Amino acid sequence: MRRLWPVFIVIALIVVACGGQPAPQPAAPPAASTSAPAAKPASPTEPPKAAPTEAPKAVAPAPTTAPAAPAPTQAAAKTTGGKKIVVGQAEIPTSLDPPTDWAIQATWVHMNLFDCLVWRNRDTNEWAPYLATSWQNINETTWRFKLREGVEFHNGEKFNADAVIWTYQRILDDPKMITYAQWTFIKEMKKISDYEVEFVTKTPEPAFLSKMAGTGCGIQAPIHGKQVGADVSTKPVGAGPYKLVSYTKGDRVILQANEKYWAGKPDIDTVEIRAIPEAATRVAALLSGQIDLTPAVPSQDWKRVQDNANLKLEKALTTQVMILFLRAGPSSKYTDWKGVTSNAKIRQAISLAIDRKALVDLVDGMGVPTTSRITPPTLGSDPKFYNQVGTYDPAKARALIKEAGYDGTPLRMHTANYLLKQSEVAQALQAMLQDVGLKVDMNIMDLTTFREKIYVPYKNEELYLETLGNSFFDPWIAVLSEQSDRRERSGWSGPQADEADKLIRAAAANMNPEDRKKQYIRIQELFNEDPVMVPLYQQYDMFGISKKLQWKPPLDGFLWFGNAKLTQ
Amino acid sequence: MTRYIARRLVLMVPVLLGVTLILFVLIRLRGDPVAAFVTPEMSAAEVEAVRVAYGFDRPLPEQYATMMARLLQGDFGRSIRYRTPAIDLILERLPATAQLAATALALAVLISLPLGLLSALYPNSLIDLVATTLSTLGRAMPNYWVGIMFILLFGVQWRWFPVSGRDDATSLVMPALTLSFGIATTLTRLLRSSMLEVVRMEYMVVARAKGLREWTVILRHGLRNALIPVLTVFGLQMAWLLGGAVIIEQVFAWPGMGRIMIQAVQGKDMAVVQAGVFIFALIVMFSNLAVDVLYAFIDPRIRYS
Repeated sequence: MRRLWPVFIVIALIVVACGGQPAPQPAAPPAASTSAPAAKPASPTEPPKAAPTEAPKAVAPAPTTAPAAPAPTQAAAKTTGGKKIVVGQAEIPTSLDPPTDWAIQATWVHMNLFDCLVWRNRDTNEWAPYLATSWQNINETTWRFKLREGVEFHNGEKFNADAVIWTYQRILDDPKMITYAQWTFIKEMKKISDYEVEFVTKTPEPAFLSKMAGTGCGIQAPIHGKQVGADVSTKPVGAGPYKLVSYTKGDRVILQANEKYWAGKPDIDTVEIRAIPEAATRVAALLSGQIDLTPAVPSQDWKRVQDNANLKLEKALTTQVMILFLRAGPSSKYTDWKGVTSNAKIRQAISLAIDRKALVDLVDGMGVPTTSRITPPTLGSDPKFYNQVGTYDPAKARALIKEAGYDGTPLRMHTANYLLKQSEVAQALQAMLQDVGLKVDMNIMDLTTFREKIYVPYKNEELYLETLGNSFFDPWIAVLSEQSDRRERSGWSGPQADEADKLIRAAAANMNPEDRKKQYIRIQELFNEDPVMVPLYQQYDMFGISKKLQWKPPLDGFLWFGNAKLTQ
Repeated sequence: MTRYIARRLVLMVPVLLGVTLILFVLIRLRGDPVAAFVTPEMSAAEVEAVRVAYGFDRPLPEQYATMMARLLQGDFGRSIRYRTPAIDLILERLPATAQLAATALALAVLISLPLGLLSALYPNSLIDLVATTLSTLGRAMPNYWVGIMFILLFGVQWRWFPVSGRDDATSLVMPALTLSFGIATTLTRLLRSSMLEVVRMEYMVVARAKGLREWTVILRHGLRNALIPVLTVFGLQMAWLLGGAVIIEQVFAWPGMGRIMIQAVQGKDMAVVQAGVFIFALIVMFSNLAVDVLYAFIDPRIRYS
């Protein structure tokens, strides 16, 4: 027995040795230089709206080395005082280099570190100048940006045209970047002057501004970027409202207010973003005061959050639309597909058999019924589709099924089960379809299996249920799946499909917004006439927020704290 | 003894080879590795380009051979999500998991040793009733559920401990206690039954007849003999402990190997899964070896050659 004591001592030593704080990774350098004060709008809480007041021009020659990073301990010490919030998210970025991680929750963090040339105004969702002060569409394929002068990156480097060109050229030079395909619309970039850049696109790009604000748009400090290379994923230097203090992969990111932010120093000094994968734990952390903000509060916890004197619930629309997708025919990845939904009458019957109001009730009102994937404020969104329950006519559906000569062959339906009440919605849809006389074989799977067995190999059968978002706020992406060379999952064909194809291609390059809007409205009509997708409802998200924190979820749902406030 | 240990170490090599092969096959059976990269709008050609860029278009034997050639050089590949060496990601997390597992083991021993011993020495007493009830309940309750109950009670209701993360010693209490719960109940039950057998042995009577103090009889003659089967199970529990840690880390947002393994499995980050399972396999093998060596310390009759 006595000889066992060393074992216990070893265990105790491991506990002690591994104890304490997890070692944070060295942080990106806070700004060192004090020259050239940044231009500020009247109020730091206002999102940027217009060109800045006169800012002193950068006179110093471009430095060749990035200012040195201070020791992380110094940076960490700075975070101990001041206003601090803790945010709980299901996950945090795998990389702090924006073009290498496109997960939505990663993008939230990136946007606090990096500013783009343009971004959406946090209140109105209109395009607003950020690191650009204005832009001009010179001709159908050429756009010129005037850049904000006097802006410094977090390490003191000057922001200018070289930084813009370096940031995007870096993506265009590396097809392994996860966002590479998203940026190939750029044909070339020209430096007109230190504060003017011209972008030439391959084709006319009506969605240009939307694409310029897409994943990976954050402008990076070029000298620092060249010095650290791939390590920029842990040592990011941007010009956003917050700079990095520490980043522990998979655990937490700690950000500190950028005192020299061009739109004014944010009110909250420190933002700690923690990865808490389990929803139940996130809510428990919120209830116990460990965190101040979390998205995706499950409906069973709403009352508990609401009953807490320190917390409030904030309901906000997402861009996600729940859609029942139908397969109309075989495709190049599924050439031998045969199924009853190849009959257009059956597809129309399915569309008529769905009671959207009942579905919205089923998800506790957490949805807006819609018959289109294009939702406000995206161009092409129209009241005749949005906030509409559509035509629910089971009698007509039964008649169509009879006309189609349906022989009772079951329809195969797949769905993942990861969204709010997704499996209940799937079962309700099954019941609605069975009510009009269609047999449905349902297969509810975990998300990974669904993606790997059905979605990615394009092996979807008659029906699948999926939710799709559109944080670009441009309609081109919402209809792209039905362009004739991309119909792997629908196998759509026929006169409506042909007309839709022509319109999808034309609208993607139409620089006249009014005309373009009409094209997208017509495309949505075609989708509804010969359905290959039945949009059901736009989803809400529910945020649990500490009452001390003044922050409203914006239309894109991004957790951006440049304009948030904290009352002590 | 040294030769025995050396032989066991050499035998680990084919076991690890087997682990890599099984792992490679299992990962491929799970489906298409490019699933993590695909967005709804990507065309078939764009998906194919990703597949080619990462070498997933090569024949499986070629992919395995490439992987093994790299493994022999200590290269587990790069994480496709983090774009850093997979083994670094795992080793960065090892201290957090080791801390959690070691604390849970220590707690399990501290709970089960007195409880098992006392319930065996005083059968059918109140303490025996408590111990047997607890061990039955402990086996019946899955540890993630126990974790959530602890969170609700100690975190939300009483606010004694933080409910997530790894900040200071207090944040270790709930995950370690949850993880130790299952092991403690198993060990308590086992120690109880093992001790019940030992107390009836003749050498116990002899020890008492020699005039030894009762606690000396119990601890030096009784417990030491009763510990042999307990130690076997204790060694086997290492695998259970690591498996449990994966779940517990997820529930308590504990930034250990388990958390990153779950993310890697979900995100099809194969290099990280491989590196993680490899390290888990090593830990289990070394702990089994350690248990075998410990037998010799507890029971002088056991000698290896």
